[in-house]
Amino acid sequence: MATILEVKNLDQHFPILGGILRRVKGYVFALNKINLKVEEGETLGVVGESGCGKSTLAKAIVRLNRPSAGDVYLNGKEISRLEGEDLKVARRQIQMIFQDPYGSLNPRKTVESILAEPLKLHRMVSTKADIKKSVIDLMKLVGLPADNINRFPHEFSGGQRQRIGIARALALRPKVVIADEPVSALDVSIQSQILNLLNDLKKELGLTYIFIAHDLAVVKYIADRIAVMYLGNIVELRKSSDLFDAPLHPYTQALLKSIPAPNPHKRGNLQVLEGDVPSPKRPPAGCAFSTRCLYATQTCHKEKPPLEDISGEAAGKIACFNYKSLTETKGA
Amino acid sequence: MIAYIIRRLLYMIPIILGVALLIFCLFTFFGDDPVRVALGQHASPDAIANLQHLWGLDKPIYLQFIDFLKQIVTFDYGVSFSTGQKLSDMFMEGAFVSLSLTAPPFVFGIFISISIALILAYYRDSFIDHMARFIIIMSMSISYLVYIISLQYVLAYELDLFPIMGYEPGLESITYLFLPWLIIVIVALGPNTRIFRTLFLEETSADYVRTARAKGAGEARVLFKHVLKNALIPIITNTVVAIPFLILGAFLMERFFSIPGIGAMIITAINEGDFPVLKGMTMIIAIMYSFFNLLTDVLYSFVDPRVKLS
Amino acid sequence: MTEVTIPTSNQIQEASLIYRLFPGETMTARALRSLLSSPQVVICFIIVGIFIAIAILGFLDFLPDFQKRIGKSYEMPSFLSIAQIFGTDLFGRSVLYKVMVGAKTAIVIGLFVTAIAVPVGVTLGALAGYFGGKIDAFIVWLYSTLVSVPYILLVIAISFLLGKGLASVCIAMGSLNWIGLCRLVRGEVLKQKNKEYVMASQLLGASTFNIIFSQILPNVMHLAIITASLMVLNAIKSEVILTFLGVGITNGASWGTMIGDAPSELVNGHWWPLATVALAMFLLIYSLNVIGDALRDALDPKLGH
Repeated sequence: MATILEVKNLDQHFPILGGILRRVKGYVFALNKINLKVEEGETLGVVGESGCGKSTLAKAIVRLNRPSAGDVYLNGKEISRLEGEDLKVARRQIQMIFQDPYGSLNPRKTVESILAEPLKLHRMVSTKADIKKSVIDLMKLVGLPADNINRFPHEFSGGQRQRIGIARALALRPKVVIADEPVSALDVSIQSQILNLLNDLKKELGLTYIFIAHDLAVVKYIADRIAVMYLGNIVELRKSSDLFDAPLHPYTQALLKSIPAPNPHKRGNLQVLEGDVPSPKRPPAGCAFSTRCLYATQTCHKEKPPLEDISGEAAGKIACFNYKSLTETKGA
Repeated sequence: MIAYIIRRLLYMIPIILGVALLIFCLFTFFGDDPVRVALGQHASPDAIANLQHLWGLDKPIYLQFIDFLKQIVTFDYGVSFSTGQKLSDMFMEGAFVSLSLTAPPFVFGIFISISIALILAYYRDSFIDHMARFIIIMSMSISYLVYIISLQYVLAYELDLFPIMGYEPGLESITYLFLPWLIIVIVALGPNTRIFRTLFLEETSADYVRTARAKGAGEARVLFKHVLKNALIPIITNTVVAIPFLILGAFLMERFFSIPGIGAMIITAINEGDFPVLKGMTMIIAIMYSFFNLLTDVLYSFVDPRVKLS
Repeated sequence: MTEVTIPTSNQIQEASLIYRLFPGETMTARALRSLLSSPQVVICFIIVGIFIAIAILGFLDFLPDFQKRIGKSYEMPSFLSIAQIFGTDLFGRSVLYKVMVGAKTAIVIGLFVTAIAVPVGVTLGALAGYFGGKIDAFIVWLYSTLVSVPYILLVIAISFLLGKGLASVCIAMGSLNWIGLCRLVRGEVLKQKNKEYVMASQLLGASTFNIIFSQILPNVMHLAIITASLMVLNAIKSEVILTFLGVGITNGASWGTMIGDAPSELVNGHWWPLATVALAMFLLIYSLNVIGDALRDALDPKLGH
């Protein structure tokens, strides 16, 4: 399968201003040398705790924030340094579904207006009648009744608003869709509806997803491969089933162990990670996870483990010096 | 937080420079030529040239601006055209008079407004509340001028309760100031009460008040112990910001009641085309206002614990 | 497709708000409906409408000449003719006509100042809020400087220096009134700037101009409308005071002049010129106050979002 999106050595360092004259006092190291290849047609899940950089990664890829360093290749073309019309054209290929169903739609615009905006901006259709028809098609695509076309966002439920958001993201017929926690703000029963919708759309339109979430159960259901992030770094990148069966990175193991099991008889002890997540303003020297890792060695504290390939059956990538020597049985 | 205060202080400099620039440009480019105004229509060219030189008006503009800046820093704005008095002296005299006119009713009025606002907040949505709000809107719709004229006419002229106008320094001043005080309190009562009432009501709908009530606290206790304390912050800041205006004096009051405060000086300056007075007074008051704004911000940062921690 | 859910408390709260709106009703329509539902508000609109009509007549020169002598000096109000319904002044001129001309002045000033200050305030506020950085710093410095001088003082100074008269007063007030709205808009734009719908528009390729004016500002317009009504009010009140102090209009066509004559008239027992002017001012200002309050209630975004 072809690589449709590639991220190379992406850095995102936000300057912190302070002091009397508001000079740069330091940086928030939100993303550190991220390397990622996304295959066409797959769903890549990205998980991690709050503050690990998932959303920042999404925004950096689509240029909502300008990356501090590194490249983003979409269909082989570098997009992170494009401007103006070029950027606009490139953006047709990659769009985003946002997390907050309440903040992601302009409260003063009707559904028709919201969905017509991308069509008008890119001059995909010209007459008013055509626009209306295209909007209705989009609404049907995501399962919204067409007679809601003149309603306002506040007249819809959360799940319906997300459908509007999905329709908007698909209006330009992109190839890649980044979904930034699209179901986190929804009730559980609605979540499954939206996830099914996303899966159906993927098959119907031949999309590639990058699916960001913090809920591992959700990701397990929808993702082909999963990238685990910690403090701005990718620590493990494996096939979904492999990851859940045999997590290799200590952080992944801890994450999986912390999922409460529904079956009371199967509950073991929830493993508690010691300590707090370090501040992204002052990341630890060496491995980002070394301050909390139970198996950290001297090397771990001093040097940063690169993201290496794992060969063999359980293929993927991992950033850990000692993963081979750690053996663990089933996680979740 | 010290950093915040220092930064705030430093920020005052571009502001005051801006004000100086504004006042300077206004008066230099838009006013009449002060020399001609002073000397009259038929002055000889020599006399004009002399006076221009004396006042430094023949220098290039940027040098004139620097002169102006010097005046600001040394608090010496020259003398008045009409009275020949030093402006700094005029200001000090006038400031005291204006303050004695505006400060007492201001303080008194605030207390009354807060009390009434508390009562209205307590009895919110009752008949008293609605009646009071109606009266307040009505009273706010009557022009300040109408209040002054009618009350002066009725209470001073017709009923002879107070002197119609005038001023004596010292304790005597109270007889002359009492009617103006009364009018100021009446006029300010409406708007202030309205503002405070809104502030109190905003607080009462806050979650912590709901908790207090759930714990069984009576309405009065809720109001006094919780709401008042929190609402005091915006009240204080609003109040402190108003202080420079007290010094400015109530223009209309001083005009109607012939009270020789700063407002009266400015009006006289307008009528007589007395540029130095207008220019100097405006500048002084602007600087004071900046200081008090700064004071308010600093005060706010002390009082509001959220700002303290940032 | 209906969704079967157990409503969360959020959704219940939301639903109760939704029911206040008819389906597909725009905010504007709802606002109008709310405004027109109160008889008091409707009356106030009519009153303001009458004043505006008088102003238009005055503009088109259809108003009777207030300088013309129509009766004896200081005649009391009588029903002999419409002109004499409020009596005459010192020169035998009709008090009614003078008040009408004053109304025209008041409305002209109110509308003119607002027409300048609102677009300037909204634009500068939006630019400052959206772009931040140097643009923001400059605009903030600009209005902080202007605000450092007490409003009345600066308006007096500017009017004085520009020469007395209607135009100077308009310019003076117009150059200061935009500040309040600018601050409000700036604050609101700052809040909206980081919302996800803005990000979505940026991602879809909308231009900066498009985002500011087409996406963000509609969420801010309610502030502009409410402020505008207050601005008209304040402009009218200020004009009267300024004319009275001697920096406004000098040809007698203002309520300020009439009020200026009042004390001496009162002393001689002629109460009706002041009473008429006071009544006219009261009607106009009270109506504007009520409308302003009603607008604030009608446009409050907390109802219905």
